[in-house]
Amino acid sequence: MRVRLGVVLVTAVVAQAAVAPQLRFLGATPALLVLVAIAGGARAGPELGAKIGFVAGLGMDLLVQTPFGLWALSATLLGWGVGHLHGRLVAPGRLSRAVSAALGTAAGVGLFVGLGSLLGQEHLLNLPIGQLMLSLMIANVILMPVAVRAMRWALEIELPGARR
Amino acid sequence: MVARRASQRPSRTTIIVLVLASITLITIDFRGDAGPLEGLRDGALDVLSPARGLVDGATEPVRDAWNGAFNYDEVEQENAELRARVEELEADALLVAALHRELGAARELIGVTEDLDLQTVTARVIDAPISDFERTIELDVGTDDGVFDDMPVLGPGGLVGRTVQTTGGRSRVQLLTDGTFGVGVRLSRSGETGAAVGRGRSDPLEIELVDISTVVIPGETVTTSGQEGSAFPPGLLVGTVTTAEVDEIDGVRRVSLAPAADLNRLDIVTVLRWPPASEPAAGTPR
Repeated sequence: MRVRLGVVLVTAVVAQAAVAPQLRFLGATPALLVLVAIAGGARAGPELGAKIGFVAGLGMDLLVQTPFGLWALSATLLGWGVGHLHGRLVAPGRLSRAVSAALGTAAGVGLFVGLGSLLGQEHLLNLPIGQLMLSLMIANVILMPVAVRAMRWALEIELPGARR
Repeated sequence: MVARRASQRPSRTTIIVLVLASITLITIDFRGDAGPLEGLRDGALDVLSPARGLVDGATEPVRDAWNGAFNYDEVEQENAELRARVEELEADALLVAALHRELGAARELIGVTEDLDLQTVTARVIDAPISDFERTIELDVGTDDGVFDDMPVLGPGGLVGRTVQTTGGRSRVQLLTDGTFGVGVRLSRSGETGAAVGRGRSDPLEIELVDISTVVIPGETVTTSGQEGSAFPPGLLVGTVTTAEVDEIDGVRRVSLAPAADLNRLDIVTVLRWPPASEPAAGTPR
């Protein structure tokens, strides 16, 4: 599991750095690593979801100039939260994944901006958060099946009991 | 109930450990002891560089075809604007050469021998921002070309930003509209100085600490002040004043500033090797 999960996480970091900037969607760069945290929480539950979120967040921290650890903190809480709530708001299935992708993205952006502003990054509040959130939510809902498939490949064999 | 509580314990312990680990990293970054963390970021930029170049090269024909098919009018208009701009710059270059000769003669006349002789490095913009939460671009030059952190970057029209992360063959530029960007500026009419700060995304910059009695007129040009300790030399065009409103409560005049350079259409930029002391040692490739 660890190797496969590592492959998925490294691929996501490379894709975030190399592919996402070329795939601008409705004026926003898709947040693939946020999606990995959401898919991790949805597929593996809160504990592993938090760990996947932490590593995905660290990957994002490597790529950007915002305080190191801020994405890790946000994505950890996101993976943990999605792990707790996935399938509880809506019956498990495609709709549930779409709801998790949309609400998870909104929560991820909200956590990052909120925690960032508490840590002295008030300029984040000047961004057009609503527009950004909407663009990223739509992009992540579209990309969620790919992320879930990748996470299933990474977790399924060694974790037959993982939540689907 | 007891079983459920027991099953939640590892989850809570994990989340607490991970949150503490994240907070520790943030604290290290804030304390400025982020040498290893910065090293990791530089390493990641270097390691991912070939993959990014590959994807960029592979998708270029598709992007060109897409633009040609769906944005033909825009491309045609951009071409016309660029041709006009080239003619304008050629005329400017002749004027600058004449002024440079005159300046040399005048300096000789008054016995000034010191010459900053700023060197520049021309660079191509190769990547858009990885995240929407910062305003950065990436250039195809780095320390191998004599480009280091905190060097000013100029584009067509004026100041674009400064280098914030440089590796062998790449450098990341923080645009002046980034929320954490700041530059000392001077208003052209009054000579009043202040600090222009970015506000994030495409919003104009805001000049802080301008005295309330200062007369500021929209359209007035603003240049870098180059005061002691500044990361920028004096006289670089930053932008023009768009609005100037009085804040009675704080007793300051709030001035908005539109960047002179079009930050959304950057292709070729110039890195100013400033301060001159930051030049690499002799023998280092430029």
